[in-house]
Amino acid sequence: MRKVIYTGLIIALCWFAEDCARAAELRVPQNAVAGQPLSIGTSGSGTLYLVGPGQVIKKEFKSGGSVDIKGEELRSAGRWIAVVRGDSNRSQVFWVKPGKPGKLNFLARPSRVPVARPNVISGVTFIFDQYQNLILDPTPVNFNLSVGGAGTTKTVTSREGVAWIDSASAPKAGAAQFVASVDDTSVARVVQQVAADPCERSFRMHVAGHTAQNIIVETDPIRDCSGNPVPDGTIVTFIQTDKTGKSTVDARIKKDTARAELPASDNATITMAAGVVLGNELHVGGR
Amino acid sequence: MGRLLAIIFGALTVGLIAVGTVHGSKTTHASTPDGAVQAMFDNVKGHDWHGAYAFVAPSSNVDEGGFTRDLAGRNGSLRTYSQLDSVNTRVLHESENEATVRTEIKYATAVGASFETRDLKVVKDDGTWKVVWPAEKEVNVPPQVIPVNYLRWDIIWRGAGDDWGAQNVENPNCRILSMHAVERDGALIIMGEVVNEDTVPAFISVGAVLTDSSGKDIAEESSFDKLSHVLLPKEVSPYRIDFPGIKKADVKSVRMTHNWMLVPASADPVIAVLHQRIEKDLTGRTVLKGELLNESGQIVNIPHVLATFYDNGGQVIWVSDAYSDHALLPQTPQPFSVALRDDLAANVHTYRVTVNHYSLNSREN
Amino acid sequence: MKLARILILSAGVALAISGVAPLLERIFADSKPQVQLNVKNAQPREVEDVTQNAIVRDYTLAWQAISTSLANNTLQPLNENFAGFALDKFTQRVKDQKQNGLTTRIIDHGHKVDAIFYSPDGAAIELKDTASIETQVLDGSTVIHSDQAQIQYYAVLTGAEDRWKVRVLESTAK
Repeated sequence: MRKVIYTGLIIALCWFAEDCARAAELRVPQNAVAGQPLSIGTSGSGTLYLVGPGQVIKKEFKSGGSVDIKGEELRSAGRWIAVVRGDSNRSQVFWVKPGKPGKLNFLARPSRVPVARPNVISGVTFIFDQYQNLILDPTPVNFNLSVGGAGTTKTVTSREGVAWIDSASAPKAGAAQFVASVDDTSVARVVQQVAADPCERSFRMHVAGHTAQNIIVETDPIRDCSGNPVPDGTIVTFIQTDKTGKSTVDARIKKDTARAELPASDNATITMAAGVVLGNELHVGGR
Repeated sequence: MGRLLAIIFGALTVGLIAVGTVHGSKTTHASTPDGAVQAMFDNVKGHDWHGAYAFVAPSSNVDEGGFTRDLAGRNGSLRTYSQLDSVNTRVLHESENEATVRTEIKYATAVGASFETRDLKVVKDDGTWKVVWPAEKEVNVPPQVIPVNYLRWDIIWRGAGDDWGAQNVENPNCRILSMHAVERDGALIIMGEVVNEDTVPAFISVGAVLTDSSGKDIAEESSFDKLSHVLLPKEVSPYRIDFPGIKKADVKSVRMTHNWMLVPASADPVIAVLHQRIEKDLTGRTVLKGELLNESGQIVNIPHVLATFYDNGGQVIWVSDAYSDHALLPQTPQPFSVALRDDLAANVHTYRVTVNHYSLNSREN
Repeated sequence: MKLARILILSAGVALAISGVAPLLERIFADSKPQVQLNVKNAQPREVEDVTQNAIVRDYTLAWQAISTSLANNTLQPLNENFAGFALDKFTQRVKDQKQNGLTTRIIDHGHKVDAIFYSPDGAAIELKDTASIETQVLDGSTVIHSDQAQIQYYAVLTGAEDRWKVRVLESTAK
């Protein structure tokens, strides 16, 4: 009986040893990083397949030892399967982590926004390494929003690959530079901050001149109530009423003012409007 | 035999030439005043300007070139893209040597039929009736420099290679300000106004879907030329959508559809609308008349006038439009006329006229 | 004698059921993965009901597309459900598989998905997915690897013309 037990133990030991020996045929790394070289331990000869989330790498090996994978070959982060086909068939799962931040996807919204509005601008940044792997580790992201050099910076640490902020628009109109950056990687977007409607108290016109048949009226510089010039191209409607009827000109603001030529009249009333905002009234001619 | 054939062919040739000659020189004799007008326009229809001019009275004081340009159009105007379709005449007054003929002329154009009514004077000249053609005064704009500070909006779109994070410029914010449905002449008409609330130009389209009481869509239409499709910042346009043959009682609800797109645009030319007034035209119909004045330095080939009529509550009660078949020369007033329904004329409290423009040398059109 | 017949018939039916049941399970597993979505933790914007339904529908379709593409080395299902980086990566994977004579069979046992980020403009959503996946790598018709595991995925979906498309799909060690 003792002999039988002894023989059984010997067999079990050999089996375990054989298994250990086989296990040594495929050694996968524990801390692989995308973009960095990798070494896979093998023995004997055969073919090594590395099946990753976005690629498959195939390597032939003959004398055992380790199979080297170059950094630029290992591009995908995530769950990989290493399979050896040859003297023996083995497979194992290993993980590859993303590399350093190398690319940002920055979604800045909206592209145009009225001035001085709270929480109207949003910036969302997804952080990737140079091989487009989402970096899930917390990473500080700097958001900078500035118009004409003056602006604000805020640092937000990403959670599960994404960092976001919302921000008020500045009181000053203009093309705001909205920049997201991580280390030396940055992406810029433009958020156009535009003036609001004309301010009624400063929306005034005057007679700027006469020609043989026309009277020329022109507005003072048209600004919103924060002092920003109302964007060029905004329609200002001039309406002249006299005994011959009504004459209208839909003029466009150019360089802060709008100007119109209306028929000369010996007794006319001229009004103007931009959207729902009314300007002053002029009387021209007799009376 | 050969000689006989030669004689036959020779005779045939002479005969054909004679026929051709007779055909080419149509008679210029008109025995009635309206016959003269009809004959003149028959030639116009066949683009035989010389033949048409033969019916013009010498007292008209118009040369053949000017007469031809009056009828064929000039400066790339809508008339240059038109074809005379039909002419109806009616003698209003006739004496021994003079008559007045009301002439209703219909042109077929790319934007639909265009109508013109003229009271033409016809005189007897050497025993035949001839038309006195009032020459259109060809305006020569004096040489001058008109300074224009061009304002354009150009757009840099997202490139093809940019990925998801790359921001694109957003479409403009526009809003339908009002919507009003009425039934007129057996058609359901939906009208109202739309505004571009943004600071960039918009290309807009407005449509409507009608739904019956069972919730089924029964008709879908959009506003084509009763709308300014390009709206500059803060610009308001009327819209009108016609559903012929649909009764208001058959419609449970109206679903408005729209599309606002950002487009490159120019703020010029500025067209003033002068001396607007509501009047009766020659035929007694109510029209809104006035003059268009192109304040820029470039020719506007095809002006399109849109009129919005409001009642005393400020509600849009009618929208109508008209294309002018004359180009707008710089700084030169050009009359226009837009029809207004006679049954609505009494309810019109105020109105607003806007002008679309199509220019051959403009990048936007 | 009668009893013997009934026993034999019962055994036959049981055998048939035992054979068909896994097959049916596999067919359904292949055709429609189970996706359970929880949107309570989504920030900074709440996920609308319509969006929620659309996400479940389109994320399910995306996984179905992965299974089909990797099993048959075809790209068409990917193009319909993926965009950007995810599309690039899976396209490369299919090409590489084809070149090396490999295929991958995915037996999908379901996904428990949390929406963790929904962008303020509603254009992008990030999901954290705990998936029960059985993976078989085949060389020709020979299975050279097989495992079953719970795998954590992060997915970013963005709105396209008529559906949400997966832009990022990345697995990570828990």
